[in-house]
Order: sequence, then structure tokens, then C-alpha cells
Amino acid sequence: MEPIILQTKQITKRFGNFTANDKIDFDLRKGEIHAIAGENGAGKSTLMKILYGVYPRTEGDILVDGEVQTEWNPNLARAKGIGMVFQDFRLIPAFTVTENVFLSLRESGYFLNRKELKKKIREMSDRYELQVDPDAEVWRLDLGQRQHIEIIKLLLQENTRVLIFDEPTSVLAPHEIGAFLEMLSSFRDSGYSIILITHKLHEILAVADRITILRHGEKVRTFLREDGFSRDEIVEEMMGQQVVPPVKEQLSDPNRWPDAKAVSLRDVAVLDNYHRRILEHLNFDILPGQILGVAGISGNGQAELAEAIFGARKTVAGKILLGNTDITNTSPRKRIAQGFRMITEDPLRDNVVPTFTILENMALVGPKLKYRHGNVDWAALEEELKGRDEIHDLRVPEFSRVSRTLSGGNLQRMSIARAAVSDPKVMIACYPSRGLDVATVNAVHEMLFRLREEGVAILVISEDLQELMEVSDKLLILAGGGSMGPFEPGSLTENEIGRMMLKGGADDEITTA
Amino acid sequence: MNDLITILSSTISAGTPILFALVGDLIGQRAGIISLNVEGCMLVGACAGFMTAATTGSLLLATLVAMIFGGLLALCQAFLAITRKRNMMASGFILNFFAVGLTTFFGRNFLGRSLGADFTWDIPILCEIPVLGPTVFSQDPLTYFSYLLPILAWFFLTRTKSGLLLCSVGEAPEVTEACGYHPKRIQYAAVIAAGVLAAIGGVQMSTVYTISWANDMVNGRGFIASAVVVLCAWKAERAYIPAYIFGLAQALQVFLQVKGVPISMYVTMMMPYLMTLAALAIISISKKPAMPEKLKIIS
Amino acid sequence: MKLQLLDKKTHLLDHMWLRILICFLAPIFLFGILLVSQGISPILAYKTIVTSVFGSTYTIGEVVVRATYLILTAMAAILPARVGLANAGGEGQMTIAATAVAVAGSTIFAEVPAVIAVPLLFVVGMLAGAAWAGIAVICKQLLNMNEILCTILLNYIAEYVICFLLYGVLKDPHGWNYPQTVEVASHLRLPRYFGTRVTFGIFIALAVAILVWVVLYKTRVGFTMRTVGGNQTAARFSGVRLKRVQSLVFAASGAIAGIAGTILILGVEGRMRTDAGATMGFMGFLTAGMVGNSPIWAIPSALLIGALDVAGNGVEIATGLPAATMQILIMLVLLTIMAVGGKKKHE
Repeated sequence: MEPIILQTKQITKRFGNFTANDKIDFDLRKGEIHAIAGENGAGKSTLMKILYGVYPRTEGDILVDGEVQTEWNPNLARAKGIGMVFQDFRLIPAFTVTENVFLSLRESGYFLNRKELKKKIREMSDRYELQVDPDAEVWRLDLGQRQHIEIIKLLLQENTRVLIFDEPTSVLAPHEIGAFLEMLSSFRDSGYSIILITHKLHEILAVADRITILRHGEKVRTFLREDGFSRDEIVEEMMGQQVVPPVKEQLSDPNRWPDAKAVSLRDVAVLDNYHRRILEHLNFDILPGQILGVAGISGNGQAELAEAIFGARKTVAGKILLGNTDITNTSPRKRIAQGFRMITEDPLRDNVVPTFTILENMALVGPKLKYRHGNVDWAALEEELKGRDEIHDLRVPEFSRVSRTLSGGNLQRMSIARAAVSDPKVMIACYPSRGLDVATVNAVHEMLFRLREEGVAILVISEDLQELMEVSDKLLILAGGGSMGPFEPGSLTENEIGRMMLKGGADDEITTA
Repeated sequence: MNDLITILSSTISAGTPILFALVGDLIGQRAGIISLNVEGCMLVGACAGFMTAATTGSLLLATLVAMIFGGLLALCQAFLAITRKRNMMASGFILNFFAVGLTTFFGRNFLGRSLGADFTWDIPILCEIPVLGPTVFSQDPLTYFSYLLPILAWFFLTRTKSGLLLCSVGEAPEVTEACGYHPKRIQYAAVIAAGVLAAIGGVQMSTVYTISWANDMVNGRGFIASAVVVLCAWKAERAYIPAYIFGLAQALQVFLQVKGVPISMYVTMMMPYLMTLAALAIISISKKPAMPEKLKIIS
Repeated sequence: MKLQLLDKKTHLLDHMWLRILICFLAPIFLFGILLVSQGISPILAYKTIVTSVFGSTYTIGEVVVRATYLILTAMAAILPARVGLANAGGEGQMTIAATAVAVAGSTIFAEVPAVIAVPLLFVVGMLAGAAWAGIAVICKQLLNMNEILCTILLNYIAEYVICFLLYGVLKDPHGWNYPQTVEVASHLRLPRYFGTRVTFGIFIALAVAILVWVVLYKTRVGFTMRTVGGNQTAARFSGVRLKRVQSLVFAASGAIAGIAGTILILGVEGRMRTDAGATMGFMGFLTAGMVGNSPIWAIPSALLIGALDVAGNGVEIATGLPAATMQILIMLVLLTIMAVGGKKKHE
């Protein structure tokens, strides 16, 4: 058995009342790939940041070569040969590869000797078949190549022996993943120890020597390759016991709301902020009087999908229809007039003017405004709002309060209530219950049900599968650059949904229904 | 032939102050802070430098004093823009007026006074070369230094750890921090360096170029320098071109005047500003990946 | 509106009144040191400032004359600031408008009755100001250039354009070769009051300031503007056409600076000279900055800066210091506000 290089004993990390890591024991041996798997929010990234010294631990010990480390920070970690490839690369886009490498190396001297450094970079990339041109400016490179630079930075640091990868394949195109996994194996064969954080099952199965599963901040189990990995067991441990509520009675009758129109996506594709096609071949309808839930591990295109439907993001292919009208790439202004409403992922950033009072903020795409003497009739608006149940149910703060002085939860409730009272026709709700207490979450759900009764076409994005099962009439799953479904929520087991959400590369055998 | 020498020679002396301010602000902008106050720093440098030179007769002393005061004014900008996070354009703008007030106040007894010293220093042998000799190699020590300045700045910014770190702050301060350095300290250093260099430009202007002190004598040269940093695409080695184009415009203006060419002096005086605006427009239309990331947010 | 106290780190400066006191005393103290260093009694200087401002109806009138321009140019800075833009070009917009008005008032409108001509001259001034601001709008919205740099450069260009015209085609043939335009017909001039140079212009300026406040806080348009200024993303997500709003507001601010130029000509000056109205545009920008871009507070702010500007002449006579010395005091006030003031409300 190879010696243990890095080890944690009973590591606990709390942020306020929230326990992100609860008494986790973990160890890494020389020359192995140890995968850490779990759902979003399971505590994987926190554990890595503690190992690398970014976060101080609340309790527990970190051991390197069997010695307890009292002081621990990224500089010490690097000095002990532990390097990390972050999800968001630590690279300067305007610099060349060589310059970036030069800045990160600890003993690289004051003057940059381009020739020598370039030679080293070339040697290293030839050895591990990395594709890195030392003279290229980083902004010209795709994300896969940028990842290679990050790796080179660590490899050129002579004492590096542990490589930590945080969701490394999330930036890669499906066809690049195979090569990446082979590269990981070759690092292991050269004696490096690797920690791989991922939620993609087939990757783990392909390369990991050991798999540790985290759930809700706790370590639930470690699987060993010698024992043989069981895919079903692993999925079960990752997802936990999730209750699937019974199927609701079907109420969608297309003739109930003769004026209501469906939003239809036909072969739509959207780009993310890096100009990658994050989603394509989207084909589904949001029907009036129906809640379409969108499930998926976060970062699979949820925000982009919502913005595209709202008109705030251009689509690069396909058509979006409202009823029979083509509304592809019309402005948010037009779509608001057609009854589109959106509760964004971060209402504080996108929906609230901090200097405004609550009443003023309620006037931004709220109830239809009346005007008097060229001004918004604030008294009438206040009158109208006071008569609406949503305002009370969602405990919207005093209308005269200045938004800036209020907490995020207050403003989130305000934006949800505002959308609800604005006579919507199409409602796009991103993470409507994120961070809210149980009572408010129920109020939000009640509100969604009421809108459904009124014939509103509703799209709900959430990372909470249980919530989606409760509210959705149909369930759409985003994964691997496209969508699956819509499904009847009752027709799937949680295991099936989990496997679809975790679907990574094209080599997965899961087929769409 | 003599006309050519006159024009070339005054192109260089008129372009040098811009060259200093340009390289200075370029360094500041690479760290993500626009020093609109280089105008004020030039003025402070011109005033303090002239006063020192007129009193002591020493160019070295004049330069040192100017550097100190230019650096102090830049420190104000650094404090307001970096520590207090004020709108860096507005704070620079106010500091320029502050500099106008201060220099009018302190320089009042030096108005119209002659310097009583000539800092021209011909470089032996080289000054014998025809055309180049009396133009390029018959200047003052500050101008000789300015010939090297863009190259030095280029070497510093692209070949040394400090220079690359400075640029990294303007691109991605979080990366700088991840490498274990303090982005704000680096920005302070860059902004002060910008002020100090601009002040040297000011000294050259009052003690060599105009050889006199006049209120608000910098008259927008600093603004132009700030603006044309874009034209160099934030590359120090390209600073020569805009600086000497501006110098040429100045030289031609005087030359045409002296020769009695019937073109309004105000049209020629306007040209540098118009050219700067036009150049900015042309640059803006083309893509600008060279722009430091942190500046994109404000522009 | 007033200084905001959100900065949690600076405990000592959490008290608003303490901050205001510092903003008031620090410049006086620092300026005093400066005077002492030159062997001038600060007491004498401050006394001169007071007497040269409050000495007579005439001097108070001079303060009001300057405040007239400053209020208007401050409004020209405040409006764009409220939609997230900075207009540092009030100077150019004002003087270009003044030139246009001087030309129009001495030519096509010279024979027209005042009732018709004066309002039309204001329209001329506003159009000229808006047109000059329009260049900056094009630079900003079509070419994506920084609007502060553009407006500053346009100020210099305006200065030389005016010089070119005044030394050239617009020079008064009977003006003893001074670089100035022909005088505007006398019946078109604004009435003066109290034996001072105060004209009807001050009422226009006050009306504009109040109008700006009303538009911002009491109208539907102002609500949209404040939305844009408060959070551009939120504005976009509520269907506001950002560029359109910003461009129109910027042009409107040029028109307001144009009113200042019109008053400059029809009021005190009567004709355009090369240095007429100089620095009033810059100072207006600073007047606005001093009070965090509040249209109502800009009025006292303009009076204060106007008074310090007027005091410059008195100080020059009494102490022999150049009038620009007062600029140091004004800038010290502004710098102290920037250094100790709270986070600006409308950032």
C-alpha cells in the first residue's frame, strides 16, 4: 500500500448556522485517483477549499505526510506540493501562456526569460500530450486549452505531487472528456496523486481508484475499485432517499382558457457567456395552465434558457413561438407587453433598484400602472397592492422602506409578489424558493398554483428536485447540452431522474424517453 | 533645409512632455486606474520645476522637486480612486483644477521671469551628424531620457515580474491576489509612477520647451496623453508615434504662423484635439481586446 | 441628497454632522496654512472674502449672476448622472450655444419684436447646446467611446472653434478689432434688477432646477430615468430601452447648458467674446458633484461656488494674490467631500 500524503480527520466547516462539512475523514495515497462525488451543495467544493487552505476549517485536523498542520493556507499548501485547478481558471486572458506561467511560478526570478520558459512549457506539454502553445494569448484559447495551462502551471512547479481538480470536465466539450480522463491516468502513472471532484458518474467509473460520496455535508461512503463499483449503489448514495409525492390529478384542459397561448421552442440553441453552445435542439412547449419544471445540476444552461425565453439573450438557432406568432429574438420590452414575466436567478442584481422604495420597485413590471398629471399614480398603486393577497402571503415589507436597507430574502419575496400581481401570461421563475423559509416557500407554491388556475404558462427552474416533483405538471431535465422530456413526474423513479441529471458525456447509455 | 531642422527639432521638444505623460498614464492604466490627473501633475511639475530651476539653476534638482510634487498630487488620486473607490475620472478632473489653482498661486512671482539657464547639452560627436545631429542629439538630458523611456517601460511591463504583476492587476486583480500579492498596493505604485513621469514631462516643458512659466500652460496636453493611451493599444513601445505626431502638429502650427501661411492659428491649435477624438473613434470601432479588463467596466 | 452613512468601516465618520463639519473646516484650515506660508494673514483673507461677497447689493448680485450659470450647467451634469452617464462638457455646450445666440440675436432676430425673438433665441441656444452634446452622444452610443474623455476633448475643440470664428468671420467689423461678435439688438436683452447685473435669467435657472427635480421625482419619465440610474440591469429586465433613454437625456442636458449660454448673451454679455462664460461649465460639473447630483441642493452649492468665485477678485485686490487662488479653496472643499463623504447615493 502506498503511503498516505494528504489526510483530513473529522473536518468540520460551518458558515454561520449552516454546516457545509460535517466531521469528514478523507485520505489520499500516493499515485491514486480519489474521486469525490455528490450532488450540488453536498459540500465537495468546500472540502477541497479547506484542503487547499482557501477556507479555514472550523474543527478537525489536516495532515500532510502524517504530520498535523496547524497553520494552513494556499501558500503553505503549494509549498507542500499540493496544487489545485480551480473551476474558474486563475489566468489573465490578455497575457500569453508563457507570461501566465511566469507569474504563477514561485521561483522564477525577477526577469522573464522567454526562451527558457517556453522550452520548459513545450517539454512538459509534449510529455503529457497537452495542447499548449506558449506564445498564444489566453483569450484566444478555448476552455479546454486554458485548463491545460493551469495544469502546466502546477507541473512546472517542481515540488508538486498532489493535483486537485474541481469539476474539470464542466468546461470541456463531450469529445474532449475521453482524452482528459486518459491524461489523468497518465499523471497517476507518473506518480502524482489526484483528487477529482465531479458529479458525472461515468467519469468516476472510468478513472477513479476510490470514490468518496458526500451528501448534505457528510461523508456517506467510500467505494474501492477492488470491490467493483456498482453504478446503482453509487447513484443511490449520491441522491439519498428522496420522496416522490403521488401524482396530482390532471387539470390541464386546453379549452379552459381560450385566449391563453403556449410558448413553444422549436430546435432552439443558445450560447453562454463564453460563446459556447450551452444548449441546443430544445424542443418543448410551455402550455397555459401548466407548470413545467426544469431540473438539472446547476450550470447546465438554466439561466441561459430562462433569459432566452424572456428575450434577454439571443437565440442562435431555431424559433420561439407564442401561440402561432414567431417571437424569436424580439426584445424583452416586447415580450413584457405580451405578458412575459421573469423572476431572475438573482433578484437583487436583476430585478431591484436599490435606491427605490418598495413601492417604487413594485412599479417595475408590476400591476398595470395608472397615471395622473404625467406621473405614476402612486396612491392608486398602493391602494391596489394593499388589496392583493399575494402581498400579504409573501410578507412584502412596508411600501415606504428603501430597498437597499432590506435583506435579500425580503427583496426576493417582493420580486415574486410583484410578478404575481402583474397579470402575467407567461411566468419564468428561476429558483423561486431559494433561501426562503418553509412558510414562504409554501406561499410561493400556492401563488404558482393560483396562476396556473388562471391559465398562465409557467416555467419553474429549481435545483431542488423535491420541490419540482411537488409543483410540476411536466418535468424537463437539462443535461449534457440539451433537454430531456418533458416527462410526467410520476412516471419516473428518483433513481432514473438522478441518472439523467448526472448524465455527462455522450457515452452514457441513458436514453431520452 | 533649415526649415526642416527647425520643424524636426521643435517636434521633438513639443512631443517630449506628451511622451512622458503618455507613458506615465499608460503604466497607470495597465494597473486599471486612469490618471486623468496627469494633466495636473504636468502642471505641478512644470511650475515646481521652473521655480527650482530659476532659483538654483540645476535641472537635476528641478526634476527631483517636480517628481516629488507630481507624486504627491498623484497620491491624492490614488487615495480617492483606489481607497475611496470614487469615480476615477471625476477625481482626476477635480485634481487638475486643484493643480491649476495651486500653480497659479505659487507660480505668481515667476510669471514672465526668464530662466537664466540653458539646459541644452549636445551629445559629442553624434551632434555632428547632419540633420539628426542638430535635431535629435542637440537637446536636453530629459529629452534624451525620454528617447529611452518607452523602451524601458516596454521592458519593465513585459519582461519583469513587477511589470507583469502590474498589468495583471488591470486585467484580473483576483488572479494577482491568488498569486499572493496586493493589488491595491500595486495600483498605488502605478498611479504615483504615472504622476511622477508626467511631472518630469512638465519640467521639460517649462524649462526647455517654453523656457518660461505661464498659468495653465499645459493646456490639455495631459488629457490628450490620457486619451491617446488607447491609440498605443496600451503598449508602451508605441508611445513614440502619437507623442511625436502631436509634437509635429505643434511645431507646424508655430512654423506656419512664422511663415505667414494664411490659415487660422486656431484651426491648427484645434487639430491635436480633433485628431485625438477622431483617433479614439476609429479605435473604438475596431475591436479592442488589448484594453485592460478593468477599464472596460468604466468605459 | 445628503451625505450617506453606509460605510461601516469608518466608525468615526459615521456621524453625518461630523462629516459635514470636516468638509467645512478642513478646507478653511488647509487654505489658511497655505496663506500663512506666503506671509498673508488668513484672517484678512477670510474677512475680504466675506466683505467682497456681502459688501454691497452689487457684489451679491454678482454672486447671483454666476450662480445662474452654475445652476444650469450643474443641471446639465445632474441629468445624465441620473442615467449613469457623466457630462463633463457643459463648458463647450454652453459657449457654443452662446455663440449661436449671439449670432442669431445680432442678425436674423435683430429686427424681430422681443416677444417672438427672445423665446426663439432660447430655442436656438438649446438646439445648439443639444447639437454639441449630440456629438458626444454619437461617440458614446454608436462608437462606444468614453463620454468623459469625449466631452473634455469637445470642450477644447469648442474653445478653438469659437476663437476661430471670433477672430474670423464673426468678428465685429466695428469692434476695434477685438475678437467679439456684433452686439445683440438691445431690445432683445433680458431686464436687469436692483441696480446689479442680475437678470431675469436667475428665475429661469431656478425654474429649470425645480423642473429637473419635478421631472425626476414626480413624473413617469423621471421614474424611468431613476430606474436606469439605479440599476441598469433591472431597467433592462423591465423593458426600458437603455440607449434611447440615455441619449435623449444627454441631449436634453446639452439643451440646458444651452440655456445658460443664452442667458450669458442676452443677460450680462450682449455679445460673444473669447473668454465669456469661461470655467462656468467646468464649475457647474463640480457644483453638481459636490451635492451628489441633487438638483435642489445644487442651488445653494452654486451660490457657494459663485460666491467664492466672486471673492477671488476682492482677494486679489486686498492681498495681491491671483484670483485663481480661490480655485484652491473650492477644490479643497470638493476634495474633502470626496475623501470623507459617504458613498455617493447615485452610483
